[in-house]
Amino acid sequence: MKKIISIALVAVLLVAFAVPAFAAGINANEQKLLDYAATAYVVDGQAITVTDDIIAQAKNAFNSDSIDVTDAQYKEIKAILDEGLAYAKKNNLTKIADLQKNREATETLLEYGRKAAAVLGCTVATKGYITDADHGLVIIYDANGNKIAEFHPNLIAKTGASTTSIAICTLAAASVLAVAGVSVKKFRKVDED
Amino acid sequence: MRTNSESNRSRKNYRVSFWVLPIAFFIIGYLLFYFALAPVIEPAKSIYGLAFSNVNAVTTDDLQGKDLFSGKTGVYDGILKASELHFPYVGDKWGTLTIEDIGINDMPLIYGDNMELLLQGACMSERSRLPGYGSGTLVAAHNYNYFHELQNIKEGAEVSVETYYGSYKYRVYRTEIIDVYESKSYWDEVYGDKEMFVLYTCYPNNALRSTHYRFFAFCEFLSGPKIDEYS
Repeated sequence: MKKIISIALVAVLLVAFAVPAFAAGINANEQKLLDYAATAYVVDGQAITVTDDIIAQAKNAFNSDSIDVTDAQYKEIKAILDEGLAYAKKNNLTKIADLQKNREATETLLEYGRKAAAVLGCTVATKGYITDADHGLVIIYDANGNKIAEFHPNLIAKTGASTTSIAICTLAAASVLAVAGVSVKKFRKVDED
Repeated sequence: MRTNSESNRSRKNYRVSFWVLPIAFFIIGYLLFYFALAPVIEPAKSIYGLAFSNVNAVTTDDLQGKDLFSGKTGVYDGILKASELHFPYVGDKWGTLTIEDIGINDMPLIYGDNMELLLQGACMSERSRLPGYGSGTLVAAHNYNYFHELQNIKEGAEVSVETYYGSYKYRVYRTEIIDVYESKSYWDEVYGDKEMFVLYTCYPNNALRSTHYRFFAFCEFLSGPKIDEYS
């Protein structure tokens, strides 16, 4: 009997370990945070809807192996988000454009984001000014330094050769040559005189 | 007969013309070139590298992230549990793209679409979903290399996507040139509740300036496993 129980136990353990389980997927607490993001921001009775692309990115982040929001973490994050939301309402911030010239508000909201990420052991880094369509970037790293998410204002990427700088360069070179030509001509004339 | 003052002036002019001005122009010109070219030096180096190498020869060594894809899985349908799958980090290679009609074979598919990643292959926007997750997958690549031929794709072309968890087939049902600053007509396809695969690149290929236009190819789902992300 003991032998049968031992074999059964080993079989159960083998099956359990044969199926790898990651934190990937969206759990109930993560879904509550997604619902919160989609519905919580109401200004003058009107919900400020988080766009589908941001919700898609949030779902992807919650699918990360590194993130598995517990009940306690959910409560802590929600409290931070409530504070951030109150700040946004107080300052009438309803769209990205409102942040473009308001660095103080941007930094304050980023700080709330950093606090919320820290609850999950994540860190938030930035490159450039975050509303800068070409260079702004917000990066979220997990505790092991893996990049969970990157956010840049442009949804659609630039997928052609950047020719603006080449044009500026050509213009600069042409200007230098033109000025050089005029100056040399002028000095030659002075010499001849 | 030249006076001393005339001779001095002539010597001074000679110095200015042949020494001071060339040096000044050299320095100004160099600085102008430096500041103007600084933002394009890296992309230019990459373009040069791509021009003199096989576009499809991107190896896992070139990737910023991990290579999750290790060949065909043999999973063509069914339902997979998200909790049993690793999810890619930004920069990871999660699959390959093949569109035989336009000569795209086993092109790397990268998670994330920042400027550095776009030099490595076809890049999926993190603001879209991986195949099988029940919505649209938005994939971009440069028009001067990886997606140079995308504009030649025709409706009905078959698109094969091999991922680290399953094989997917799609078919192009519409192509469109969109001014992305004016129109968001791609939005419904990408963010609807249907499985979709959307490819795009800058339009036209030979534009000599930054363009607002993108060539989009919308592909409908034919087959592949579905992912249950709530289990």
